[in-house]
Amino acid sequence: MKSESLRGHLDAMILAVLEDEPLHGYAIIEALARRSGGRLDLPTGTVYPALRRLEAAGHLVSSWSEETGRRRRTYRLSRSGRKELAGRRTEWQAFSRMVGDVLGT
Amino acid sequence: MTTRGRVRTMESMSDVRTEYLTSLAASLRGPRRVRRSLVQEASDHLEDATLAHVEAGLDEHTAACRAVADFGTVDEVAPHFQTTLAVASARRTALMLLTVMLVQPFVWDDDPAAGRPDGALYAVLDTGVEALGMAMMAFAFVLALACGIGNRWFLAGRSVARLTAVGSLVSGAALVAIGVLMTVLGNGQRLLDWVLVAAFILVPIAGTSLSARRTLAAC
Repeated sequence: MKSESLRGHLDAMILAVLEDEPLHGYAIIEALARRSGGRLDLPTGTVYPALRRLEAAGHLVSSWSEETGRRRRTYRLSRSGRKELAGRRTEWQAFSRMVGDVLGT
Repeated sequence: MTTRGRVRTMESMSDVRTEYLTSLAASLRGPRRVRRSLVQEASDHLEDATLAHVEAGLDEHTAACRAVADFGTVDEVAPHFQTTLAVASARRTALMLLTVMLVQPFVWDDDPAAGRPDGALYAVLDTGVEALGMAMMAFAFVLALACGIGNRWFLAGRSVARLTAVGSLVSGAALVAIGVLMTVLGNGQRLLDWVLVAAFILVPIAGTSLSARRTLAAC
């Protein structure tokens, strides 16, 4: 799937992969690739500005942690991030149902 | 992979990675701390991705090249990083302006002992500085929010950063002009008045303007 059509949904997808546990950037991108079955086609570098934007919005909280002797910036969902994710899910379900009804799928 | 193998792999892939990161860092403008942490995250990512490709069976050089290619070219990635930097810089500028403006009501509080200077021009400037001060405070508050938590409702991009910078420069210049003129027209030429103007208007606005110029450069 091309990056242009994903751009509007990237924030919600990032929030979703962080729902269960805090992850660092590379692990977030791996989780996105795994959950999308490898169909997510966007330069991985563009995920980092999205993480910073979500952090500025207060949806994510980051901290530097040490993993196997290497420092990594780890992100976790904040309370507002969980609320935002729930809202995005509801919106997406309504949207996909509406488009599906119109397309007759 | 053993620790020794990991270290050897990281050393040998460093050429490709370093070249990419140097090029990325050179293309970015903005707050040093944010810039460093963004480039550090990119470096961490490339390291992790390269090791994952090596563990999947690629040779070290190919793995590093693949990691860099997946990350995106500097031309693709840098504009996104640059927006993050511009907004971070704008947020800092807006917070600086807000801090400067919060102390202004105390600076402009009339000294009953000194009395208020006569003259229509002074009265106009006095009203003007109050209105400008309130407007600047509201402007800085809204822009600081827009560049931070406001991202919940709309994406603060480079246009918001540019607006913050230009607004800060223009309103700062207006405040300095009014402040200096009011001091000239004010009660005598007391050294204390000029010290207050310098300490609470000229120096802080100069700092804010410098930050605004850096924000413009980051846009």
